[in-house]
Amino acid sequence: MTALYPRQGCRADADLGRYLPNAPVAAFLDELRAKRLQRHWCAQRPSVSVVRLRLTSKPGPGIVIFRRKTRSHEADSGVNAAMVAVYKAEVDMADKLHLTFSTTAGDFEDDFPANQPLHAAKRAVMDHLKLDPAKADDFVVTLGGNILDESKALGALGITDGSILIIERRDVTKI
Amino acid sequence: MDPETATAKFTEQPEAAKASAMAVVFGWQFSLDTLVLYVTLRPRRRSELAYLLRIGFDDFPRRAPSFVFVNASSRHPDDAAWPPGVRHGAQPPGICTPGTREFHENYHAGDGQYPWDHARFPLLVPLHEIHRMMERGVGA
Repeated sequence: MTALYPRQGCRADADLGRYLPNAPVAAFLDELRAKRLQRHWCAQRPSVSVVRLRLTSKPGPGIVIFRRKTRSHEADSGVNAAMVAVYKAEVDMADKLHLTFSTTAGDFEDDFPANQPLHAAKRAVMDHLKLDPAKADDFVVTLGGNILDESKALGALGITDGSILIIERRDVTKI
Repeated sequence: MDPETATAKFTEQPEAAKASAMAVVFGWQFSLDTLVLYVTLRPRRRSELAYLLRIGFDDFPRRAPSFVFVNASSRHPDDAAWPPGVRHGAQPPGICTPGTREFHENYHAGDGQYPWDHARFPLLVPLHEIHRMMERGVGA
Protein backbone atom coordinates (compact mmCIF):
# COMPACT_ATOMS: atom_id res chain seq x y z
CA MET A 1 0.00 0.00 0.00
CA THR A 2 1.29 3.42 -0.88
CA ALA A 3 1.72 5.72 2.07
CA LEU A 4 -0.08 8.99 1.63
CA TYR A 5 0.13 12.06 3.74
CA PRO A 6 -3.11 14.00 3.44
CA ARG A 7 -3.11 17.73 3.72
CA GLN A 8 -6.01 19.79 4.95
CA GLY A 9 -9.19 18.81 3.17
CA CYS A 10 -8.04 15.36 2.13
CA ARG A 11 -9.46 12.09 3.29
CA ALA A 12 -7.75 9.98 5.86
CA ASP A 13 -4.99 7.67 4.68
CA ALA A 14 -7.13 4.59 4.85
CA ASP A 15 -9.87 6.07 2.72
CA LEU A 16 -7.45 7.24 0.10
CA GLY A 17 -5.50 4.04 0.16
CA ARG A 18 -8.44 1.88 -0.80
CA TYR A 19 -8.55 3.54 -4.19
CA LEU A 20 -4.94 2.92 -5.03
CA PRO A 21 -4.60 -0.78 -5.87
CA ASN A 22 -5.16 -1.64 -9.55
CA ALA A 23 -6.08 1.89 -10.39
CA PRO A 24 -7.34 2.40 -13.97
CA VAL A 25 -4.88 5.14 -14.74
CA ALA A 26 -5.72 5.53 -18.43
CA ALA A 27 -9.42 5.85 -17.72
CA PHE A 28 -8.64 8.34 -15.01
CA LEU A 29 -6.66 10.48 -17.40
CA ASP A 30 -9.49 10.41 -19.93
CA GLU A 31 -11.95 11.49 -17.28
CA LEU A 32 -9.56 14.13 -16.13
CA ARG A 33 -9.46 15.59 -19.62
CA ALA A 34 -13.21 15.26 -20.03
CA LYS A 35 -13.76 17.19 -16.83
CA ARG A 36 -11.41 19.90 -18.08
CA LEU A 37 -9.16 19.49 -15.11
CA GLN A 38 -5.51 20.34 -15.15
CA ARG A 39 -2.96 18.62 -13.07
CA HIS A 40 0.28 20.00 -11.84
CA TRP A 41 3.11 18.01 -10.51
CA CYS A 42 6.22 19.37 -8.99
CA ALA A 43 8.93 17.91 -6.86
CA GLN A 44 9.69 20.31 -4.10
CA ARG A 45 12.25 17.99 -2.66
CA PRO A 46 13.71 14.84 -4.18
CA SER A 47 11.82 12.68 -1.75
CA VAL A 48 8.45 14.44 -1.86
CA SER A 49 5.91 14.85 -4.62
CA VAL A 50 3.32 17.53 -4.34
CA VAL A 51 0.08 16.88 -6.12
CA ARG A 52 -1.96 19.80 -7.29
CA LEU A 53 -5.34 19.79 -8.92
CA ARG A 54 -6.89 22.86 -10.42
CA LEU A 55 -10.25 23.41 -12.04
CA THR A 56 -9.60 25.23 -15.28
CA SER A 57 -12.78 27.26 -14.88
CA LYS A 58 -11.56 28.74 -11.65
CA PRO A 59 -8.66 31.10 -11.14
CA GLY A 60 -6.10 30.40 -8.52
CA PRO A 61 -2.86 28.57 -7.95
CA GLY A 62 -4.42 25.16 -7.42
CA ILE A 63 -4.94 23.20 -4.29
CA VAL A 64 -2.39 21.02 -2.65
CA ILE A 65 -4.24 17.83 -1.96
CA PHE A 66 -1.52 15.84 -0.33
CA ARG A 67 2.10 15.05 -0.57
CA ARG A 68 3.63 11.69 -0.94
CA LYS A 69 7.04 10.40 -0.14
CA THR A 70 8.33 8.69 -3.26
CA ARG A 71 10.71 5.83 -3.63
CA SER A 72 12.88 5.52 -6.71
CA HIS A 73 11.61 2.08 -7.73
CA GLU A 74 7.93 3.04 -7.54
CA ALA A 75 8.03 6.61 -8.68
CA ASP A 76 5.86 6.18 -11.77
CA SER A 77 3.29 3.86 -10.30
CA GLY A 78 3.22 5.88 -7.14
CA VAL A 79 2.52 9.09 -8.99
CA ASN A 80 -0.19 7.48 -11.07
CA ALA A 81 -1.77 6.00 -8.02
CA ALA A 82 -1.65 9.33 -6.35
CA MET A 83 -3.48 10.89 -9.29
CA VAL A 84 -6.23 8.35 -8.93
CA ALA A 85 -6.46 9.12 -5.28
CA VAL A 86 -6.77 12.79 -6.09
CA TYR A 87 -9.59 12.05 -8.48
CA LYS A 88 -11.42 9.88 -6.00
CA ALA A 89 -10.96 12.51 -3.34
CA GLU A 90 -12.35 15.16 -5.65
CA VAL A 91 -15.74 15.19 -4.01
CA ASP A 92 -14.34 16.26 -0.72
CA MET A 93 -11.15 17.97 -1.73
CA ALA A 94 -10.04 21.14 -0.10
CA ASP A 95 -12.09 23.46 -2.23
CA LYS A 96 -13.67 26.56 -0.81
CA LEU A 97 -17.14 28.01 -0.85
CA HIS A 98 -17.81 31.69 -0.59
CA LEU A 99 -20.75 31.96 1.80
CA THR A 100 -22.65 34.57 3.75
CA PHE A 101 -24.09 33.64 7.11
CA SER A 102 -26.85 35.99 8.17
CA THR A 103 -28.17 36.43 11.69
CA THR A 104 -30.24 39.05 13.46
CA ALA A 105 -26.96 40.17 15.04
CA GLY A 106 -25.31 40.77 11.68
CA ASP A 107 -23.85 39.06 8.64
CA PHE A 108 -20.54 37.29 8.14
CA GLU A 109 -19.16 36.66 4.67
CA ASP A 110 -16.07 34.57 3.99
CA ASP A 111 -14.57 31.60 2.17
CA PHE A 112 -15.17 28.29 3.93
CA PRO A 113 -13.50 24.95 3.19
CA ALA A 114 -15.97 22.67 1.45
CA ASN A 115 -14.95 19.86 3.76
CA GLN A 116 -15.68 21.84 6.90
CA PRO A 117 -18.64 20.43 8.84
CA LEU A 118 -21.52 22.86 9.02
CA HIS A 119 -21.61 22.77 12.80
CA ALA A 120 -17.99 23.93 12.92
CA ALA A 121 -18.68 26.73 10.46
CA LYS A 122 -21.71 27.79 12.49
CA ARG A 123 -19.68 28.01 15.68
CA ALA A 124 -16.93 29.96 13.95
CA VAL A 125 -19.44 32.45 12.58
CA MET A 126 -21.19 32.82 15.92
CA ASP A 127 -17.86 33.45 17.60
CA HIS A 128 -17.00 36.08 15.01
CA LEU A 129 -20.35 37.81 15.52
CA LYS A 130 -19.83 37.71 19.28
CA LEU A 131 -22.67 35.28 19.77
CA ASP A 132 -21.95 32.71 22.45
CA PRO A 133 -20.82 29.53 20.62
CA ALA A 134 -21.80 27.57 23.73
CA LYS A 135 -25.40 28.28 22.71
CA ALA A 136 -24.86 26.99 19.20
CA ASP A 137 -27.28 24.13 19.76
CA ASP A 138 -30.06 26.67 20.25
CA PHE A 139 -29.65 27.70 16.63
CA VAL A 140 -30.17 25.98 13.31
CA VAL A 141 -28.82 26.83 9.89
CA THR A 142 -31.31 27.12 7.07
CA LEU A 143 -31.07 27.46 3.32
CA GLY A 144 -34.20 28.20 1.35
CA GLY A 145 -36.23 27.58 4.48
CA ASN A 146 -34.84 24.08 4.97
CA ILE A 147 -32.88 23.16 8.07
CA LEU A 148 -29.48 21.81 7.07
CA ASP A 149 -27.83 18.72 8.54
CA GLU A 150 -24.98 20.17 10.57
CA SER A 151 -23.11 16.88 10.76
CA LYS A 152 -22.35 17.09 7.05
CA ALA A 153 -19.58 19.00 5.34
CA LEU A 154 -20.53 22.19 3.52
CA GLY A 155 -19.63 20.61 0.20
CA ALA A 156 -21.91 17.66 0.82
CA LEU A 157 -24.99 19.77 1.48
CA GLY A 158 -25.55 20.99 -2.05
CA ILE A 159 -24.66 24.51 -1.04
CA THR A 160 -23.55 26.55 -4.02
CA ASP A 161 -20.89 29.20 -4.06
CA GLY A 162 -22.33 32.56 -3.03
CA SER A 163 -25.22 31.14 -1.00
CA ILE A 164 -26.69 33.00 1.95
CA LEU A 165 -27.33 30.82 4.97
CA ILE A 166 -29.51 31.90 7.86
CA ILE A 167 -28.60 31.11 11.44
CA GLU A 168 -31.81 31.27 13.42
CA ARG A 169 -33.17 30.16 16.76
CA ARG A 170 -34.34 26.61 16.94
CA ASP A 171 -37.22 27.34 19.29
CA VAL A 172 -40.52 28.64 18.06
CA THR A 173 -42.26 31.62 19.59
CA LYS A 174 -45.75 30.65 20.66
CA ILE A 175 -48.58 32.88 19.63
CA MET B 1 -33.37 61.33 25.10
CA ASP B 2 -33.21 64.36 22.84
CA PRO B 3 -35.15 64.32 19.54
CA GLU B 4 -32.01 64.18 17.40
CA THR B 5 -30.70 61.11 19.19
CA ALA B 6 -34.10 59.48 19.03
CA THR B 7 -34.30 60.15 15.28
CA ALA B 8 -30.84 58.68 14.78
CA LYS B 9 -31.79 55.61 16.79
CA PHE B 10 -34.89 55.16 14.66
CA THR B 11 -33.10 55.72 11.35
CA GLU B 12 -30.49 53.07 11.99
CA GLN B 13 -33.17 50.38 12.45
CA PRO B 14 -34.57 50.29 8.90
CA GLU B 15 -31.11 50.89 7.46
CA ALA B 16 -29.70 47.87 9.28
CA ALA B 17 -32.63 45.73 8.15
CA LYS B 18 -32.24 46.81 4.52
CA ALA B 19 -28.50 46.12 4.60
CA SER B 20 -28.90 42.66 6.09
CA ALA B 21 -28.50 39.61 3.87
CA MET B 22 -31.80 38.47 5.39
CA ALA B 23 -33.57 41.15 3.37
CA VAL B 24 -32.27 39.45 0.22
CA VAL B 25 -33.10 35.93 1.38
CA PHE B 26 -36.64 36.79 2.48
CA GLY B 27 -37.28 39.29 -0.30
CA TRP B 28 -38.39 42.09 1.98
CA GLN B 29 -39.50 45.31 0.32
CA PHE B 30 -39.28 48.44 2.43
CA SER B 31 -41.18 51.70 2.23
CA LEU B 32 -40.59 54.45 4.76
CA ASP B 33 -43.17 57.11 5.60
CA THR B 34 -41.85 59.43 8.31
CA LEU B 35 -41.95 57.30 11.47
CA VAL B 36 -43.75 54.39 9.84
CA LEU B 37 -41.95 51.61 8.02
CA TYR B 38 -43.94 49.37 5.68
CA VAL B 39 -42.48 45.99 4.81
CA THR B 40 -43.96 43.69 2.21
CA LEU B 41 -43.57 40.05 3.23
CA ARG B 42 -43.96 37.17 0.80
CA PRO B 43 -43.74 33.49 1.73
CA ARG B 44 -40.77 32.15 -0.20
CA ARG B 45 -42.64 29.09 -1.40
CA ARG B 46 -45.88 30.91 -2.13
CA SER B 47 -44.69 34.13 -3.67
CA GLU B 48 -48.17 34.85 -5.07
CA LEU B 49 -49.13 35.86 -1.53
CA ALA B 50 -48.09 39.22 -0.13
CA TYR B 51 -48.73 40.82 3.24
CA LEU B 52 -48.02 44.39 4.25
CA LEU B 53 -46.56 44.88 7.70
CA ARG B 54 -46.88 48.32 9.26
CA ILE B 55 -44.20 49.15 11.83
CA GLY B 56 -44.81 52.31 13.80
CA PHE B 57 -41.76 53.86 15.43
CA ASP B 58 -43.49 56.67 17.32
CA ASP B 59 -41.84 57.14 20.71
CA PHE B 60 -38.92 54.91 19.71
CA PRO B 61 -36.59 53.94 21.38
CA ARG B 62 -38.41 54.61 24.65
CA ARG B 63 -41.11 52.23 23.47
CA ALA B 64 -40.87 49.24 21.17
CA PRO B 65 -42.18 49.68 17.62
CA SER B 66 -45.75 48.61 16.97
CA PHE B 67 -46.30 45.84 14.42
CA VAL B 68 -49.61 45.27 12.65
CA PHE B 69 -50.57 43.94 9.26
CA VAL B 70 -52.56 46.37 7.12
CA ASN B 71 -54.40 46.34 3.84
CA ALA B 72 -51.83 46.55 1.06
CA SER B 73 -53.85 49.10 -0.91
CA SER B 74 -55.36 51.36 1.72
CA ARG B 75 -52.62 50.77 4.30
CA HIS B 76 -55.34 50.74 6.96
CA PRO B 77 -55.89 48.02 9.56
CA ASP B 78 -57.93 45.16 8.17
CA ASP B 79 -58.64 41.75 9.67
CA ALA B 80 -58.21 40.17 6.23
CA ALA B 81 -54.74 41.62 5.94
CA TRP B 82 -53.32 39.27 8.55
CA PRO B 83 -51.65 36.05 7.46
CA PRO B 84 -53.01 32.99 9.27
CA GLY B 85 -51.43 32.05 12.56
CA VAL B 86 -49.66 35.34 13.22
CA ARG B 87 -52.15 37.56 15.02
CA HIS B 88 -52.42 37.27 18.79
CA GLY B 89 -55.89 36.50 20.04
CA ALA B 90 -56.00 39.25 22.67
CA GLN B 91 -56.51 42.97 22.26
CA PRO B 92 -55.00 45.12 20.92
CA PRO B 93 -54.26 43.35 17.63
CA GLY B 94 -50.59 42.51 17.49
CA ILE B 95 -47.90 39.90 17.25
CA CYS B 96 -46.59 38.06 20.27
CA THR B 97 -42.86 38.08 19.75
CA PRO B 98 -40.11 40.01 21.54
CA GLY B 99 -39.39 43.35 19.96
CA THR B 100 -42.98 44.35 19.30
CA ARG B 101 -44.77 46.96 21.38
CA GLU B 102 -47.77 44.73 21.76
CA PHE B 103 -45.61 41.97 23.23
CA HIS B 104 -43.79 44.13 25.76
CA GLU B 105 -46.66 46.42 26.76
CA ASN B 106 -49.62 44.06 26.57
CA TYR B 107 -49.15 40.34 26.18
CA HIS B 108 -46.01 40.16 28.33
CA ALA B 109 -46.27 43.40 30.26
CA GLY B 110 -44.25 43.09 33.44
CA ASP B 111 -42.55 39.91 32.28
CA GLY B 112 -39.08 40.19 33.79
CA GLN B 113 -37.66 37.85 31.16
CA TYR B 114 -38.42 40.25 28.33
CA PRO B 115 -37.90 43.85 29.33
CA TRP B 116 -37.95 46.15 26.30
CA ASP B 117 -34.43 47.05 25.22
CA HIS B 118 -33.89 48.44 21.73
CA ALA B 119 -30.30 47.16 21.71
CA ARG B 120 -31.39 43.64 22.61
CA PHE B 121 -34.30 43.56 20.18
CA PRO B 122 -33.30 45.43 17.01
CA LEU B 123 -35.84 45.52 14.19
CA LEU B 124 -34.35 42.42 12.55
CA VAL B 125 -35.28 40.24 15.53
CA PRO B 126 -39.08 40.63 15.36
CA LEU B 127 -39.06 41.06 11.57
CA HIS B 128 -37.30 37.76 11.05
CA GLU B 129 -39.53 35.98 13.55
CA ILE B 130 -42.69 37.42 12.02
CA HIS B 131 -41.58 36.22 8.60
CA ARG B 132 -41.08 32.71 10.00
CA MET B 133 -44.50 32.81 11.65
CA MET B 134 -46.10 33.97 8.41
CA GLU B 135 -44.50 31.16 6.40
CA ARG B 136 -45.61 28.58 8.95
CA GLY B 137 -49.08 30.10 8.97
CA VAL B 138 -49.58 29.80 5.23
CA GLY B 139 -48.04 26.34 5.19
CA ALA B 140 -44.94 27.39 3.32
